[in-house]
Amino acid sequence: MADLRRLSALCGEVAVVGVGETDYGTDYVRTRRGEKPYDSYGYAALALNRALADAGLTKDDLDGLIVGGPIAYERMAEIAGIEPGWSGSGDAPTSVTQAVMAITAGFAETVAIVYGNDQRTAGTAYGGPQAMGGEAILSYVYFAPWGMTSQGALYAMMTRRYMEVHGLEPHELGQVAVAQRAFAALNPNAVMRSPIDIDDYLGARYIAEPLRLYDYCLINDGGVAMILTTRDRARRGPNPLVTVAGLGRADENIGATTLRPRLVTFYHEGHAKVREQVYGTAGIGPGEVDVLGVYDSFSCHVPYALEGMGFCEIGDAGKFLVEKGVGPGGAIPTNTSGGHLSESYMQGWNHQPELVRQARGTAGERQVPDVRHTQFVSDVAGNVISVVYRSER
Amino acid sequence: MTTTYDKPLPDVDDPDMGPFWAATRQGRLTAQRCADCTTLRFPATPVCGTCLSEDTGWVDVSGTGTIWSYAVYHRAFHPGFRGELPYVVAIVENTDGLHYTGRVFGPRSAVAVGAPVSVRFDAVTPQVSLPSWVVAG
Ligand SMILES: [Zn+2]
Repeated sequence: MADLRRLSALCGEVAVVGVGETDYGTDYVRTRRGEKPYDSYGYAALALNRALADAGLTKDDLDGLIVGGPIAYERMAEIAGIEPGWSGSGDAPTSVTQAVMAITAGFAETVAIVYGNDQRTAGTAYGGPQAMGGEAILSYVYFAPWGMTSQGALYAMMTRRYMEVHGLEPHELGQVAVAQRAFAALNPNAVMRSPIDIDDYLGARYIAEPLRLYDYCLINDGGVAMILTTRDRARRGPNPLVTVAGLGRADENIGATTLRPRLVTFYHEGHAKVREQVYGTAGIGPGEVDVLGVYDSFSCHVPYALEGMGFCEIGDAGKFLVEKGVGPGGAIPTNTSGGHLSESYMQGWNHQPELVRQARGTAGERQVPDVRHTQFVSDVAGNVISVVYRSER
Repeated sequence: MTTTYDKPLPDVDDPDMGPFWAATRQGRLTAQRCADCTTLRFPATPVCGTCLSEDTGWVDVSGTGTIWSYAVYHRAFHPGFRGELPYVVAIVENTDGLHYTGRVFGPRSAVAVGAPVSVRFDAVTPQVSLPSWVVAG
């Protein structure tokens, strides 16, 4: 069980000093034309260069490297010409957490976390016979003979069950896709920028019913990087100070193959533990979060996270989406870059620089006013993880 | 005339799931039962998740239950299912409290969370009988 006292000692001590992303929109157009500007490592290297430039640092300042996506840290270190004191790999919030751990433990002072993925041009299958390595993940093999051969169907089942238990209506869920597209319209780097309304959402075809086309994330190529260092060193950098102020993690894998965590509690058991940790370490509650980022491979993650983190009561997310809102001007602006549905599918990574920019106050036309805390939540692949970023301007 | 079955098939020689597929060939729905703590479990695992016992047997379980949740495929991610769109896949909770994935057959209007279903075995190849679920009209 998490020890809040020891966990709190890690929080507020590490800052994000650099963010970098590739050109999602223009690269998407190029790949649609049949070009392949970079592979996964190329995107990762480009993002790393941009994050270092943003931080005013060089690669010689790095003594830690953590990578995500289909890349190996050994190869990434070779390509970038660095010999880190700490290396590892993980998904986006795990990489942020691991960087904080490596820095506070003394293994490293300045850590780059880097992601690159050429999933579109490489034809990576998230559904179908060879999905995500096929045999490596039991559920794909287990479900495939019955034609349950895609990630979307797991979320379709989760959403169907949620609709039955809590009464979520299609036009309520549709607010997520509409709101995120409205943000993407304000983001020059987003892949999908044409606004959609609720009629467009409801009129789009089903993929795995009850999920429709706009409930699904994009598949595109790109890279993301961030540079994290000690709070003291960050103070000497060029950017407004943004620290990692809260962390939380809880896994839910028992019964995963028959979808127990998804169908019985909608990951709310994990949410409840994480809520205690992440708000306990940050010293805030959901009412003090100004911008939210939710891992949105599918739109339905957003209502589950809103309830799980306490932005509304369990079962009230549908009403919250319609009456309070998650889009521009809404009660809790969520996935303000457009997220996976409209900006870019970087598997939780593109949410991190956006939350840092919002905390810095440099998010351009989509900047939310007076941001002090931003929060990322993911509930995917057997765990709930959250990070709170704090502006210390 | 021969026809080729073009959908994914389970590995009937899998060390954990093999006995399940052997039983479906005989028209029986089964689950593992821990010899030490008697907990039933499915899908199969090498040890009991309740007590970590390695001592396991297989028992027949109930072939009736209710739809826990379901999805309707409007797009085939595997080409073998193209001719059957839209099709329904469900996770069924049987009356022993175990959960089985399967196709759902019967009138589409009767498919709902909580709808009662009963198992049926479809011999898709000489080695493989797939359990499916039939919803009453
Ligand atoms: Zn046992």
